[in-house]
Amino acid sequence: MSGDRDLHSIGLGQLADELEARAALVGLPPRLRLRQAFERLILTDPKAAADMMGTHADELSGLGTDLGNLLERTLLERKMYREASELLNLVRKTTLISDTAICVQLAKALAQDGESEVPARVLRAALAIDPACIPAIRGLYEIAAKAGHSTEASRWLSRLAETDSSYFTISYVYKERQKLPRSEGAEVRIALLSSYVLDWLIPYLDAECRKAGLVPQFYLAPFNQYAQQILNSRSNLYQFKPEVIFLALGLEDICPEILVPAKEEELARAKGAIVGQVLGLVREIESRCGALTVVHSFSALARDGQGILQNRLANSFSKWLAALNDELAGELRTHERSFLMPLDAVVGWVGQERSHQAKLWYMASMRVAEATLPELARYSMRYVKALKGLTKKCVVLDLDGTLWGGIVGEAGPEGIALGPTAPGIEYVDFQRALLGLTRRGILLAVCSKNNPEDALEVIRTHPHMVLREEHFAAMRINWKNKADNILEIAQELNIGVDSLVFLDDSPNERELIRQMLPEVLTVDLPRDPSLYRRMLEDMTDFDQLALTKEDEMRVAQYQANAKRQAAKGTAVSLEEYLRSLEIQVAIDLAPRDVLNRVVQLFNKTNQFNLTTKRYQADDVMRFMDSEEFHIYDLHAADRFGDHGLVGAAVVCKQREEWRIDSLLMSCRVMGLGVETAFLARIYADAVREQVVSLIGEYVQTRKNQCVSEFYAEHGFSLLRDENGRQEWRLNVAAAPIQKPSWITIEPRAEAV
Amino acid sequence: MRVEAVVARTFHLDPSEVTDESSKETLAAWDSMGHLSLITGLEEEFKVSLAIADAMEMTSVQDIKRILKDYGVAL
Repeated sequence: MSGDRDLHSIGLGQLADELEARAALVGLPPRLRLRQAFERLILTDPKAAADMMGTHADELSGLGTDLGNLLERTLLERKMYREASELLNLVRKTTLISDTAICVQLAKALAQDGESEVPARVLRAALAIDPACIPAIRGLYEIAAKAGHSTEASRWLSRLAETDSSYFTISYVYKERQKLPRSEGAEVRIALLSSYVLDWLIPYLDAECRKAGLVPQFYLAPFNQYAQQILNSRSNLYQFKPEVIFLALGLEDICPEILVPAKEEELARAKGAIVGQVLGLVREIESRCGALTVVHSFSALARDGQGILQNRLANSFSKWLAALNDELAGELRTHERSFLMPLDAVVGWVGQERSHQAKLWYMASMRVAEATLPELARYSMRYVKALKGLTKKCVVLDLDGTLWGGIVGEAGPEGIALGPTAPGIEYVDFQRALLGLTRRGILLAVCSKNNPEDALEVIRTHPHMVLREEHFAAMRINWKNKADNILEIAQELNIGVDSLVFLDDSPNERELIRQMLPEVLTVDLPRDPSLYRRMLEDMTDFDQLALTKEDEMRVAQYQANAKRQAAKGTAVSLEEYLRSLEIQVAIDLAPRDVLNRVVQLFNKTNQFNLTTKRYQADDVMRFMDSEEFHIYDLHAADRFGDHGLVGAAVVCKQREEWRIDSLLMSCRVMGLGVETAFLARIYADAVREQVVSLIGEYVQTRKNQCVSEFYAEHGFSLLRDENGRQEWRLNVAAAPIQKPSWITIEPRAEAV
Repeated sequence: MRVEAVVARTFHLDPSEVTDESSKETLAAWDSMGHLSLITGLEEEFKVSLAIADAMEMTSVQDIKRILKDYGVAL
């Protein structure tokens, strides 16, 4: 009997013999007999059972997965913690132990003995069983925090927040984070003003900010005190110096009349009053601080209450609500620093029923339920990331399994899934969304392990490809490792590795890039390609506060760049090449209508940026209006295309000395001599106003090494250097700065 | 055990730590915001909508079970 042989082979012979007689009487099959024998051993001698399970894990796992759970629980009850953790370690590659609660209890018991290494191992084993085991993650956090390993502790908190979005978990993470030393990262100051209780959004916003590498500070106005805070210029709100203000007003709070289904003329009156009230508050904020103001759009708690006749009415409630939000959006369109956030859309995605729960409103004055908070925080981040210049510039795409289904090298162009029917349509739809991104100035690039001719055949000739060669600013189709290819792409496009997003269906490739290039945002593509498009739409990394002409032109500009590179190959000398480009620049005092683009440059430019001062719109306007400052803009074009507005500089004018406070330029025009032409213009203005010396500031950052010698190369001498903050001086009379001979200065180039 | 499981899940506890006697007084994590989360969790688990007066009275596991019976929930 095979069952008996099993019993003997794992040393249960005697026990089995003993059981045999009784078991046979009731006719148990051999497998069950073995199981019974082992269960009995567990109860009589758990230590022996543990030894046996450790050495015969594979055989025993065939008897049912809960056998290990039973043994662990028994060891735990008898306080045999060491044996329990050793067993866990020995059988961790099998399914014998599946109950993570036992592991967590064991870790707790072990921790009481003052141990930390063994409990941590036990908790890691629990995570191997269930990667979403909250108590295990929390336990690992506690161990790391207690040992003073704050970086590791912070990582566990992040994992906790990503695993569970319940309020309790997110608020736990928020509270615990305050106890850790301040982590590295740019600070962002966020104020929340609301007519209802929105306190519980803050832990969610905190978690999202941390995910983006920001260290947030929050100000929450006291309940329903938004107006007082806004109207008093010495209020806590303004003392907090917010960079972003979220203004969340509940429709029913500011206009209780609509709670009784209202008549048409009442609605019309109410709309004007609401819009006026919101605009009034926005103007007050704008006059008192330069914060970005994000007003939540209005959504209603109740349904229309007008029945089937609502569509007969010229001004039904739902039409009225849409018109109210429309009118508000229209009014705010002309405000550079104020936005209407589509709360109604966010509520719609989550579901009206789950978002607006009457009971929460009645009980706690809450209009937004727990289920909506993750989505609301994510959407809010779009504004925060755009403000802090965290917008990504380029999406690097894999091909097989990402832009189409299947492997072109194996299936051929006809065999891949890409077309108007399923499977295949999901990839077409994903490509359409990617094409949409290019219209917002985001670049696309290809990074694929393939034979170039196979992949290019699809890209060039497949009838259902949406994205063609001209949509990709760079392509790396080869068999080299993807980390090297991605570095090359960043170099070719002259953008930072940290402005790249990497999308690949292969978890191995993603893991490689996460480890080799942690600065790249590597996104986990869903296992189901039907979700690709949604995943892309939900990403909060592509938003900008304003879409400029330059953004819309960008893809064409990068194609022109490729042609420039080709021209470089044929030129004999560098100067000959530069001359062949026929570069034209226009440098002027920046007029008001380029405000958005100039602010964008200040906040996005990392490499060619002498001081990296992140000026906002109100700063730039101050420079434009002030007698004390010159703010310059620089346009550049060459025979391959128009680069647009690519440079800015701020000069602080004192009588005898002009100080170059900021000078920055898009990387696209680096190395063409344009920067020298820019400096030559400032120099010429200084000469005309009989200035004695020009002072150039340089503040070293992790990314602007490429301009550390900028002032030295233009004849300035170093005055002082304090921890990477340098001042350079040029005697205006002694050393002239001239524009390179291959550059032509044009009067302001009007929109080309 | 379903009530205990919801309480444990809501407040990151081991189900074995939750008993009939567990209450707002005995569990530090059970504060007023936690209470709202718990009510939402119970409503989802048992597919009921709890009257405000009942929700406010649910301050211990025992009370939760007693009140849920009024809603026809078999425990």
